[in-house]
Amino acid sequence: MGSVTLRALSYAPLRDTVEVVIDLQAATAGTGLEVTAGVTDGILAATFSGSAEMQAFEAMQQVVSALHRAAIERRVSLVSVDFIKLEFMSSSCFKCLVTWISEITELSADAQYKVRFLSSTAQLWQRRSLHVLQTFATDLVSIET
Amino acid sequence: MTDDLHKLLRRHLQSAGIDPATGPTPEAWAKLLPQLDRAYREADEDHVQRDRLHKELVIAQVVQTSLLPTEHEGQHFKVAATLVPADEVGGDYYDVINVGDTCWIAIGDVAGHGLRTAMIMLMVQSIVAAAVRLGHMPPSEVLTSVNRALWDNIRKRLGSDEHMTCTLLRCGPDGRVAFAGAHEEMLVCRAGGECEIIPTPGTWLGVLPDITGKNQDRELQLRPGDTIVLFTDGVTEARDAHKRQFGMERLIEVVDRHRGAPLPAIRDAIFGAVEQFRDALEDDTTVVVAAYA
Repeated sequence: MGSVTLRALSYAPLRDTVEVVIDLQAATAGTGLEVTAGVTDGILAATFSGSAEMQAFEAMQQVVSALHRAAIERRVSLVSVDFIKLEFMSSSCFKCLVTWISEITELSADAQYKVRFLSSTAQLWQRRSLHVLQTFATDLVSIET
Repeated sequence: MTDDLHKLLRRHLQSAGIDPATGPTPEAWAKLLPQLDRAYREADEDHVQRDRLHKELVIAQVVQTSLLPTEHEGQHFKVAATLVPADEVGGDYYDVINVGDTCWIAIGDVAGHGLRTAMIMLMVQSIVAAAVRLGHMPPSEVLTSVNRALWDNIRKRLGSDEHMTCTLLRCGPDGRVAFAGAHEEMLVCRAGGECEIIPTPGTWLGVLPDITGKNQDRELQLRPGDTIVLFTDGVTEARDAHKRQFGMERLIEVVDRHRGAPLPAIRDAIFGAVEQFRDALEDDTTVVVAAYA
């Protein structure tokens, strides 16, 4: 399993330009899960696509902890997670999201950040499961469809 | 077993620098035999252990599924249900419990697979069966009590992080069904009418120490002949060779086609359609069909 790195771009950031790219390719290679992530204007945006099968559990763990670490290091106020193109997530991979939200709630109040999930009601797994994450941390988690 | 021994023999011959095709010299045999004898005994013990573990898992599966009623003929509600595990033991759960003139129906799924999830499923089965007998509580309160015991067991005693989806329904003699929790959507098929998809927007068990206020009690009014179909993701997320999911539309279609049939026939038709559709059994599959008489 590859490592996950934060890569600062060498040029001066422009508005609406990604300032930091989080390289997740090595972590997800060959799993069927694809994730791109970067920080722009104090918001960490991650886009998931493909499918998070049971076999992608370790990759999912790495991705989620990389996002958590980046959010803390970059002191972002919001992590925006786009699941619209993620067709499937196994319950094992979903456990990583539950753990992630629990970890955010355990941070000190000034270190906590919000997570916004962008979802599609057409995906069964999202319709069934995503809203539950909000019940674990009402003030920190929001779901947009 | 024979194949295993052949592979083992070949490996030992090769590691001793002997060509497996020509065989060892008498001197080589003298050195090799005690080594082989030890290796065979260890392999045999491994095999016996694997065999014992497999048998124990099969027994666990029998215990797990034997506890769950497949048909229930209550005074006001009839139920037909089945759980088919994907592994030897799984995390799906359902139960039907009569308390006085009230019929409690529960369905859920412990995240993950294997012996630990099955153990948690059995814990939930026991806790729920005891909790619904404590008094005429709303489902949300029962779930709060169940969660308290479960969270303690999972997080504190087992030091683990499992969680579980669960919807609990309290079906009254007048056809009123109160329900709470978060699991899959439910299907309610009205006698001679449409099938409605009912969401279950509560919270899961085992994540938070206290879920008071996280589950709202909701209510359905059933009339004679109305049917409720409950299921786990092994039904709607069963996938064909092209990774297409079985989905709600196919499920509704099957239920609609068997409207008015005996409940076991509806249950079996759902299983039949899923079985025919899916490429492989990837997840536990549970179907519970209940009707108000």
